[in-house]
Amino acid sequence: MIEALIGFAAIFGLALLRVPLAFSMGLVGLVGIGLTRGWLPALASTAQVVYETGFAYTLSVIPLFILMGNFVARAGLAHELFHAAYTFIGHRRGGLAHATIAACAGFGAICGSSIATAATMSKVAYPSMKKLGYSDALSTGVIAAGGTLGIMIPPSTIMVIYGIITETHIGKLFAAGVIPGVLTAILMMVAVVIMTSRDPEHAPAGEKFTWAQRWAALRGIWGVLLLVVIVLGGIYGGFFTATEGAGMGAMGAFLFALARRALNWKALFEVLVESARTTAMLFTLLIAATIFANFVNFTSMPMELKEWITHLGLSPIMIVAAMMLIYILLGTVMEELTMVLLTIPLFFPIVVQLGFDPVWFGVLIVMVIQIGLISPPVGMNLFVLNTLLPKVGLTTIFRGVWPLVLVLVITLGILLAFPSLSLWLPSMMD
Amino acid sequence: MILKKLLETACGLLAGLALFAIMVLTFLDVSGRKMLDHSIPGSLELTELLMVVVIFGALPLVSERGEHVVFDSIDAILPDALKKIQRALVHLLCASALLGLAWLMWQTGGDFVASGETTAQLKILKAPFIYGMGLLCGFTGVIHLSMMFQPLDHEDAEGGAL
Repeated sequence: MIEALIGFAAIFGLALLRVPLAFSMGLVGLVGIGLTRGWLPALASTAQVVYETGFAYTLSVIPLFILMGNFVARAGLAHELFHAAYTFIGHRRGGLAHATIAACAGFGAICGSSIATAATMSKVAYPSMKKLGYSDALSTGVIAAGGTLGIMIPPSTIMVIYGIITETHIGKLFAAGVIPGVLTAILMMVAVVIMTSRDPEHAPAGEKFTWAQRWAALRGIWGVLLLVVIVLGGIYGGFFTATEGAGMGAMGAFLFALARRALNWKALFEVLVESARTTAMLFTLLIAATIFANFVNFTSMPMELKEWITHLGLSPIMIVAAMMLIYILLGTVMEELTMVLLTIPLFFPIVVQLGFDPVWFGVLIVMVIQIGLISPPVGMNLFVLNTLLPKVGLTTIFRGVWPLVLVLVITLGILLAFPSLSLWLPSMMD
Repeated sequence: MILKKLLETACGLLAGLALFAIMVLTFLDVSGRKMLDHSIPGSLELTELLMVVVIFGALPLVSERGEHVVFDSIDAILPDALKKIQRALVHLLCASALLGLAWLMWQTGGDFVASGETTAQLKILKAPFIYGMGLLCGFTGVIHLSMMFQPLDHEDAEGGAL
């Protein structure tokens, strides 16, 4: 137990000194195994982890979904999505904010990244809201929070990573995210209604469209629908594995970007290299986290933690709720991916032993990551918006986003209380 | 400056082309299998080899652009002089770790040469890829060494995985 605790402390110490987390985790894992098991086994197991993580066919699902998201972002499909949503709900009070959330949800169905969704939407939705006189706080808050739908609504990079490290079925995780994702979007819209009723002049209604115009706008999003049907329909229907679906999706998104003349050689090179870099960064973390998890699993910590928690006499659901509370608190100051990679080796075995479905826990993990991404002071989506819209200060974004953080926490509570919201769709896949 | 450009182009081409190849390969393999009842022989193991190229080919770029995930919470309170020392030490640590890993993978590559292990279907030797992992790790280590004394304003890290 004590060795593992020292290990965790060492990681945090190194990280605070600004050592990249992948290096902190990998080094601590290596030294930990070296000191407890001997240096030869430590080196051998490290080489094996690096080799096996590199040469893994199923892991190619990660770069392929990242690539698909980057092609989709480049293809400009977000414009049509936003326009279509706008023609339907733009004439209501706060209509542009509602349209932004709906477009984020739609974009989330072809892009597995929260940051890419928020970044893309900031270019599409923010100028329109600004023009109509929406307050900066409301517009950036909605874009930051809406962007997090990108990882709940499948495909989702983080679900893929969770599926890989816990050996959970990725297709089922994807299916499980659909209802929670839609529910989150609806609750966000309810929050927008409440927010705009208190401050109506900062969220004026837009123009009204005829039904003919609406149908025309809907026809504009056929590309998005086609990609969703092929990739998610294919995976859900058992026609593809997740890896195959990712490959088809990336190719489809590539062809779309090509057909829409959104790609020249330079842009293609940029998309490919950007995706490769994200992949390399993720795999460095993945390799390091595996080395560290191997060390933790050599120690008595997972066992003792399990025993300690069972002896607390809490009901199983209370234990999971306590984990979620820890995640929410950690998520305000920590990078969310690291938070999950560090804690999964400890929490996941407990959750499984308590008899909970790994798919359900996966959805909860995605939800706490969503919360972490937009909860001040450290939230990646907030920083991305701050970088892309430098005229809007971070404090303004904080002011706009906190009601939506609350919405996500409430949604987390609902998902915790009603597992069937997450598990009904995946149960149809058996 | 020219060196930097060369690095970005060479590693970018290597990793980017490998990624593009994985995409096309998966697409052709799946559509061939589902529609024409013909898969591409060895496509799985080709993907595995290409994955190694994507990951380790792009690794120097991640380091060079400072895109590894870091906590920078205490940056605001550190004086610049201290920051410079801290950055130099961190790069030195990263470089040592990567050079060590390079040595380890080079040794592993030697083992693969000795056993002559190949992929199952296409009988491609694995050893060159393991050596390649080692070389690119070492190269990334050298990049960290070269970054030890660069000015502070060079940093613009921003990961995009989530």
